[in-house]
Amino acid sequence: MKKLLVVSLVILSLFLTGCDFLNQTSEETTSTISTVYPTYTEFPTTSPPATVDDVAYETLFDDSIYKKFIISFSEANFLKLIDDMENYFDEFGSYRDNTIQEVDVTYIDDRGNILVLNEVGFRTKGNIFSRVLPVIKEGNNIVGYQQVAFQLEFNDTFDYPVNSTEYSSLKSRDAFDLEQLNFKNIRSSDFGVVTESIAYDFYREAGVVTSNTSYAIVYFDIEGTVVPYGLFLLQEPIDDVFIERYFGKNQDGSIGDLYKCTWQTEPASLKNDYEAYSLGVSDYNEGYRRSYALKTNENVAYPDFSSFTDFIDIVNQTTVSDYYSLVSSTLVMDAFARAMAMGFLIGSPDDFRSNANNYYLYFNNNHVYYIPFDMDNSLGWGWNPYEDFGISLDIDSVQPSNYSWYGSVNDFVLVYNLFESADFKDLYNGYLNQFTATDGEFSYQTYFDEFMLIRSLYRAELDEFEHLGLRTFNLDTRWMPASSYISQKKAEVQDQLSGLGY
Amino acid sequence: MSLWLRRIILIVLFTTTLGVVSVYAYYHQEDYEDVSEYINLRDQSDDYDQLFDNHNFKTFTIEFTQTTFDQMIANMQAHFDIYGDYVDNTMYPVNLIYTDADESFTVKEIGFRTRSSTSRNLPRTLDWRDRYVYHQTSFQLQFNETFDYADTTNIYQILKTREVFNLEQLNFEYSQIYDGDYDEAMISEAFAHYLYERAGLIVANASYGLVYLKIGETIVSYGFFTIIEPIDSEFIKNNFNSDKGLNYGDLYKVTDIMTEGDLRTDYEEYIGVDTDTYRFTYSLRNNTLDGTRMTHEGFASFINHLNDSDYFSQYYDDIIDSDLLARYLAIAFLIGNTDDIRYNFNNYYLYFDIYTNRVTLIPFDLDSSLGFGKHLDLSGGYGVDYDIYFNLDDASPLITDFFSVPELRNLYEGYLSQFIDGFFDYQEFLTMYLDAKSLYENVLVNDHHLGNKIFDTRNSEWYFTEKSINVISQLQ
Repeated sequence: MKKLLVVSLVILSLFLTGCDFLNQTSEETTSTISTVYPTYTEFPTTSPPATVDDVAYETLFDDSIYKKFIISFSEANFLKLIDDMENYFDEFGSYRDNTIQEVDVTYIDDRGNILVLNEVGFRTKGNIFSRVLPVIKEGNNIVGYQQVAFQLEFNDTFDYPVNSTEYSSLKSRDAFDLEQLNFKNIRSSDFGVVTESIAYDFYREAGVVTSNTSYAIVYFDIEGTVVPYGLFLLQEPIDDVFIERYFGKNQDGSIGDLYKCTWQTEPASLKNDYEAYSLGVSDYNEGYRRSYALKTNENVAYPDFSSFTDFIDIVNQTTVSDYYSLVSSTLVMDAFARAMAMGFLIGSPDDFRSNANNYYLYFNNNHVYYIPFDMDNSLGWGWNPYEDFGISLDIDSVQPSNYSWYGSVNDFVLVYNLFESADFKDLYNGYLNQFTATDGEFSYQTYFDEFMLIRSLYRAELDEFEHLGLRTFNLDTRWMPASSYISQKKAEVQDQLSGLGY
Repeated sequence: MSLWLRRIILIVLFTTTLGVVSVYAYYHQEDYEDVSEYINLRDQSDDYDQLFDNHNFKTFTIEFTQTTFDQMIANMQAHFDIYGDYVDNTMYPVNLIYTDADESFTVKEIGFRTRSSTSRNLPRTLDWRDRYVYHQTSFQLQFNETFDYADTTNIYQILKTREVFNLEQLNFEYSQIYDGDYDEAMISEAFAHYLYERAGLIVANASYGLVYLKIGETIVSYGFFTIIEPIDSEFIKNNFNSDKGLNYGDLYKVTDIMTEGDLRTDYEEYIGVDTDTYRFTYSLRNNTLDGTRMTHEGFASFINHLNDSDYFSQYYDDIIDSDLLARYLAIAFLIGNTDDIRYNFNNYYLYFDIYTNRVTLIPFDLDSSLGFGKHLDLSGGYGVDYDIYFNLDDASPLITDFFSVPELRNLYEGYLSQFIDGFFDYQEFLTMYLDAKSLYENVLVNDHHLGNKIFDTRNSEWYFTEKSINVISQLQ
């Protein structure tokens, strides 16, 4: 009887201890928001064992390879992600918080590669309008999820001390020969799906250096709660790794200055009357981004902006007799003309030529290289300020997409003045002619083939697991079918070129 | 039961108990030492040859008790918390199980410590979800470590004089990551040692093998390591002559740990005998008089002669083995490691002959070689187009003196040409690479080893080709 009593007491005390432990755990994860998640289709949450240590860059960006990413959060980190974004919103009025959270990442492809990366940095991406919470909330309750663009940072060191093994191990890590990788959700009403990746491909085929892209299907795993997060565009970040890959390093190991030029504090028009605060190093903790943000060689006490300001001085010498030659002394003109020509065909109204937005400038050894990015409003879909998706625009002039913000087309100082130059127009029109030729780079077949490929790889899984975001693949019900846009644009350009003797 | 029977049973029980207790007490008395298992009776010369035979598949399993391993991690972390690095040179007791294609043997209670100053890692950390993460780091096995045994004990005497593979110590180097990449060729450092040897230099022997850590019951496949013979008193004995009293000359290890090891006259505050907390650029490694040695006459004389270029030009062959120096400079240029005396005032030993004080230079630390690793040419060109002589305005006097003597310059150029015509050849590299790949790659993959597993020749063919073309072009 005594033994029975003793055993019962031990079991009871263990039970009570266990309850106490559970209570403590619960308190640790207490947050300002509810942790009641909506139910989603269960998807296998346990990642298979890794088969490889790394996957080649070429494999990641091979569109014909099916790719899947499982992003695993702890519940605490996922809640912290939301908390941080909400706190940022409370302070600055947008969700553009770049605080990095730890996640584990599993990559799986149809070539048998399974790559497991633990302790990877995760942050959301996007501008004031496109960056949203990854969840839908009613009050403090999470009632659903929504897509938002995000970035994985494979070499983030979190709070580890410099020189510690954790720091050096993470700092030296790359994956896919990249330090970071961007995931961009596809606009849910663009049933053509592949618009942005094809726009990048068109630029690259035109000989313009810009990001490589591909696609992957994404799952979030929040401690067992699996969210089929949808189809995402994978975009190679434009950063120091990008610069080294495409431009190489100098003899001393240095690289030049890379500026991200976007319409933030003002349009990135390259006029010399920009506000002082528009040039610098962006710090998200300030609550705003600079229009001309230095992205390399910036982690020094006194960053040197002279490469940029010298270029601005040159670009704004508009009264010289030979503006084209002057600017050609520093701007890599052939690549710029290719970019202007293909950009005109792609027809993004949110680019440098139309809206003083969305490009990088790379300065090295007295040369400046133009690098376009962000092309989701393209090829007959999206923002339509010209009402015909820009099909009938003049081929060799500047026509801003947002006139209300500009005093005159002269504000587009570089492009406007170059189009005053016969030399530039010859170069530019030549490329327009080349790209729109029957066998030219600006081809609907490229779009169609990519669409069919991506549909065959991902559509069934998107439907089966009821993924967030775009699930409709339809070339015909797009706002303007890409086939129509490309054929009309080519015809219009060829028509205008023929009027110029081409 | 009868009384006698009970007495007999009691007596038998008593006797048996007494016997058991006596045997137990005998084997557990405090001064009992069964030390035979610590003695190494193997054929050391044969083991040395096997160890450095690149065709011989080798594994090294290092057994820690869980407590010992945890203590090592704690001590290294504590050192980091105070000093900002993991340079804790405490020796920890481990067992070594060596296995090769022919045999396997165990060496009990040897010393283990991690190595290197800047690239030393904690072998184990915790990640954000409190999972163990293991990291490669370079380490040393010390076969004659005596730990805390009293010098009056038998085991102390056995351990103190123990050698394995004819060595007192053995170094293990892991392949570090530079610019996000492993040296996927894997054998570069060992091949660099091989090239030095082919060039006729006195240099440490090197090979490679797989390492496993057994921590308690956990086995960690620790990866592919280059194994390198230490340059110490044993090395000197094996490669240089002694006097009649079996004494050898002074051996200095030169690194840039305090200042550049440039051999200029301002050396005096940078020379000495290392302690646990203080390390010198010109570090005396033998004849230290138990750490009390204060004078360095031979070294001082060498520095004075070196910094008098007129004297050097007349008597260079009395000062240094100039033929070996010419060979060294030629093969070092071809190998292209810039973390050396010519480019970075670093990573060499100086041995002073016991009779003549004539110096022999012995290079070490060759992990950034043959188109991989840390290099002064940061463009990715690995200096294939460097000037064949030197490119620093403030080069060491040893380098400037050498190249200012026409005969030595000619000798150097001749060796460059000879080595390119001879053994500085991508096919030689490829042969060693393919041998290593066939021996180790499958095991690295199947056992999920840390570090690089898949062999790749990376840019090595380009490096050999471009380097040779450039040198030949300059020689013409």
